[in-house]
Amino acid sequence: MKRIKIVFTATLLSSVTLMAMTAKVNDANKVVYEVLEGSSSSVKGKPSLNAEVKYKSQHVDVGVSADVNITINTALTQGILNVNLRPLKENKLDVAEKDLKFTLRKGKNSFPINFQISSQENGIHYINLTLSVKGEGVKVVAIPVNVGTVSKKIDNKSIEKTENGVVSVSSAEEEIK
Amino acid sequence: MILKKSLLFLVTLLLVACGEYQEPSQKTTIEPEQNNNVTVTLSGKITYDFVPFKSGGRAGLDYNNISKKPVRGAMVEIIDRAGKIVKKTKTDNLGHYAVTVTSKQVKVRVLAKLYQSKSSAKASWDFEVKDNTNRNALYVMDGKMANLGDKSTQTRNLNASSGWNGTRYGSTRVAAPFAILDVIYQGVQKVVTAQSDAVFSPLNVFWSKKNVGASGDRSLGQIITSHYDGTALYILGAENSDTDEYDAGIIAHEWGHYYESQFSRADNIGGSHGVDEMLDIRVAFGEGFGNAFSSIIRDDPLYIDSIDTRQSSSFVVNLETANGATHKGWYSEGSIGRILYDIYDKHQDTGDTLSLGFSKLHHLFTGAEKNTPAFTSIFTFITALKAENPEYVSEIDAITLSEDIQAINDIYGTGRINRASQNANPLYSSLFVGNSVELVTNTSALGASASAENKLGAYNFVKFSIATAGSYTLSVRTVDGSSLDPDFSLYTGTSNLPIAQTEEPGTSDSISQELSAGKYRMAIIIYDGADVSRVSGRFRITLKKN
Repeated sequence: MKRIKIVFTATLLSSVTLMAMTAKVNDANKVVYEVLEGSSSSVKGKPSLNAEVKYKSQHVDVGVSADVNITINTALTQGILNVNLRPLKENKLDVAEKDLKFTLRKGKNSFPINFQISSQENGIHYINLTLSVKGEGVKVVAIPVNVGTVSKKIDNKSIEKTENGVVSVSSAEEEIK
Repeated sequence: MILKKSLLFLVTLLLVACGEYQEPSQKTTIEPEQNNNVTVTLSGKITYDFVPFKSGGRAGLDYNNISKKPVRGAMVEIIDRAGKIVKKTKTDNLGHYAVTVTSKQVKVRVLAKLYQSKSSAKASWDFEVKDNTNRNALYVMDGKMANLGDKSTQTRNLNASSGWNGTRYGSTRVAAPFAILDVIYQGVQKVVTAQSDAVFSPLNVFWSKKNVGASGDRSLGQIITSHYDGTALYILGAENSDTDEYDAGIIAHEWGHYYESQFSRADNIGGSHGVDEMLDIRVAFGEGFGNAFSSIIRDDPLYIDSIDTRQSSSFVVNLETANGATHKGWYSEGSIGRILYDIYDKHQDTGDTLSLGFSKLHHLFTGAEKNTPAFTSIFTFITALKAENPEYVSEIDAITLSEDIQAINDIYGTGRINRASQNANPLYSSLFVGNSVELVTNTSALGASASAENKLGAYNFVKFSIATAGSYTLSVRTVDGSSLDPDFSLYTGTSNLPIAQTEEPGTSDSISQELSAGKYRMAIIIYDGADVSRVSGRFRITLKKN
């Protein structure tokens, strides 16, 4: 069975400066994986909660634990920041979703969340984060974790070349009379 | 082999006699062309499954009340058995299409595409919904390859399924691109009612069921969030996380950014933003405009974002109420959204007795607002609105006052402080040739946010005029001995792109430039290392003629 395992290893409310992560190298013949880094703040996005999520996640082999470091930053100084954290795909995980709460106050608006994840399945796996503060809004962020071989799957069977260019064909429900 | 072919041909004839031909899966069944074409008026209605919000909008999408809505203004192609397009048309505003076809067997194809050529009418447009995770392919839905029958008319109604099976999306989400397209149709119609010769630049809208709120590779669906990137729209589609194809308010908001950049001017610098935040005036206006425009083209004050497992919860913004708002003002996208919508809508509420409709707003967006020498903000908008509608000045002032904004009388927000108690400079400082202006900055209120740059007070604005064309030097340097690093950009005219900018490290930056006579505006930001959120210092801006 293909499963992802998540292990929390850090105190969630502690304010820890993230250390730069290094790529994993087992021996000279192995692929050196890169560390994925990202942020939720670089586009003119839709209205949402005033918070940014920065993350780093190790690209690891199947079955190997990867460190995932998330930092939530917000300019909000009051209220409770609710964070729901769960794997995006159901039925492939052996960990229950987590509901975390952070008290916002002046001078306390950066919150690290650190954990480890492993999977028996190659590919990109996402950790879904839903952030909310009552009266302020909601933001959903997905943290990608690359495991083993990551390939771009193209759905060739629905693709057709036409005078309109490439089209993706789906079947309609149809009534003929 | 001959026997097999004969049997297949017989089966084919029997199916045709029953009035419907089911395309066989084996290529060996293709028959030789025979001259038995018929001429038929083929018509029908194209619909898509529309998933509404649950009552009140706060509990996500309501899959128990899916209804069929017309696919309006979409391109339709009639394709024969050889794959040739034998007719093209488009659906009307009820989703109907009708063509006369001479052929034997055809299928109906509906493209997720709104198109009107420049030659066929005064207004023109070209909007396509494509899959960024699948070769940027245009979404289409096909009916069956079927016999045209032996009557003079035939009806073929097509519906795009939501793909919802009661608990999840169990099959292809055919409806999603058409749901997105229908919001854009509404936007186009709204604009065309105000400007019958509107020319819309082509726009691709990228949606995929893989589009998820992660940064990275767009071809993998990692689009961060639904957004307009200046050239295309990207819309979320990841089930159980955040899907936006039925969130009409979001589609309209992002399409509003496209409208603003194409027809008006978007000075918005982007970054994360909340409805009730103190934002850079350019961001506050751009996002407030997006919220208002979203409601204007839908005539619905509710902006609803469905999220979560089974899309079962929502984030709701109501432009008719400021309940709970703690940062009302000229720096709030919430306030600006409510102001713009109140100016437009027919509903009257506290402080709002105005309903100017869209045409006057469109005229303003495409005229005075586009050409303002200041950064686009609520100050430029209201100043132009009052100038163009002098009979409604008191009503306009009442609307802005309801958002705690005192009467606006000029495009630079004269009398306003950049950020009270933190950045006590005027919103715009005036600079003159041969002189300097000194500013004090303190950004400690911005917090440790990655998007601190788009918050009120992070940027300082300076305006100046050049009377005589020539070479000038503009410099910004710290004057308190600190190691702060100033950067700045210089703008003029109607462009939202700077004519010059400098991001050099160090405590001073300068540019020497040929400047023509006219009005100029500067945006200055001060860094402490890579941080803008904990800056405290004093800096001087100087303008000299060389």
